[in-house]
Amino acid sequence: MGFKFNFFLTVFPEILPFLKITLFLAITAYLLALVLAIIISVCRTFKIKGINKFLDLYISLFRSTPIVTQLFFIYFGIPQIIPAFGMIDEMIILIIVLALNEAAYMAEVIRGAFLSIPRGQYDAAKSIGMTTRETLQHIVIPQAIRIALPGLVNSIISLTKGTSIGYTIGVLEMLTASQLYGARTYRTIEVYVAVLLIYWAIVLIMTRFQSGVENRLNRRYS
Amino acid sequence: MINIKNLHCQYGDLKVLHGIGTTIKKGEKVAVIGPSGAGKSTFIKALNYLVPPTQGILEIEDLKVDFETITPKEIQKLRRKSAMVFQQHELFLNKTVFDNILIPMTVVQNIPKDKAVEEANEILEKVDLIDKKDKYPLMLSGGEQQRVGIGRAIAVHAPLLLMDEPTSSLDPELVGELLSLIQLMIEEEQKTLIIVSHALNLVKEIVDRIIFLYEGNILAEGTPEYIFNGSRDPTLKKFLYSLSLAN
Repeated sequence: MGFKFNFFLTVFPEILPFLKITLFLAITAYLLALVLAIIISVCRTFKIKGINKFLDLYISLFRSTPIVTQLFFIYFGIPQIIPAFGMIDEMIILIIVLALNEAAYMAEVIRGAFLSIPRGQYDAAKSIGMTTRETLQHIVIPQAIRIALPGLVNSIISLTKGTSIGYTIGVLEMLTASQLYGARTYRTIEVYVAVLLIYWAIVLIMTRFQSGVENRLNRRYS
Repeated sequence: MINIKNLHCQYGDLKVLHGIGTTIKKGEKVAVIGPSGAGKSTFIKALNYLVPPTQGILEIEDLKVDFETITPKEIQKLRRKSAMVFQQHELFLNKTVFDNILIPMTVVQNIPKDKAVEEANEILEKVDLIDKKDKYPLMLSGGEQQRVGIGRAIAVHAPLLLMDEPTSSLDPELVGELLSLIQLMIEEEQKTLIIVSHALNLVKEIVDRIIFLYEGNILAEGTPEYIFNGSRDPTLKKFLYSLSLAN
């Protein structure tokens, strides 16, 4: 059989159109996860009563179980109890599971960033008469973003790769498209090398972006 | 006029201030001295409600607060009446020097931007940092950072300035320079000053009165001349003696 380079080159036009679906899934799930993570981290950092125990449970559950299990539980399990849930499009289910899973990690990254802001920054803001909202908006969040940034970029990288579990429930993203193309042509090595290279390239671009932003933000602090 | 009555503070079960009271005239410059653990920093932070007192009454000009019944609104008002300069500067690290001065005026006091910018530039001229206005705090030396801290406190437009060991993190040769700047700013801006400092030999030159705090109580107070030469309080004498040995 061997590795056919000419065939390998034909794989890219076949699977690259599905990259936009992969990126759509990753970006949508990321934005949802980010909003959720900010809300959770604020509640946990400022110890908002009544909700903290529930949030602890959520974070523990989603960080301690495999994402495929979470996906199967929601996609296959819940419709047995709530049949209407089975009508939801698998792409939406995938986005929800990816967001819920990643938010559990991102919330901890953001909370860690909040906690690493020195006490003196809060005191200084209070001492000049800033309210809690003003302190968060002008002082704490901008500094926390810089600290959380590497972790938050890791999350989008992790989500981009994580969209491939959509294959298990039939979402037609890049991996599913490659699997179908490989099955159709009976050539898998070229297809999977191509798909690996595409994922790798995306992650390299994201990492370069992360370094650029980090360097820019760090200039103020050195 | 600043009137402090029966000020109590505690951390958990540890009582730090035991009913402190004193009156400070408008424009008066007062130093608070005492050994470590006497409650000096707690006292100065309590006046800005950074350490919430458990009991006591504080009057600053037309504002009167009772710490047992203080409301969030009163806390904000109190903080508009007193500005802090911290031992470790505590500048906003994500803001430039210029923005550190600007932020109390634009965000807290809602002064129109153009007026606030003009005043921020004036303050930076006074603290001699106009050429570093676009730098970030961590790009400055300790002395420069503390000058920004003083500038920021001036920008609060509070009648009372509270300084918690503003010189303790500075190299010795910068201490005199910074105290001269403090004196100049206080006189120009007609502020009342309460300063905690260990640089007693220099501080006594710029203050009108010294309060000696010991284990959360005022043991002696008076002019620098009285504190250094007139008081017969044995604890104060022992403290001054230990300080002279340290120097």
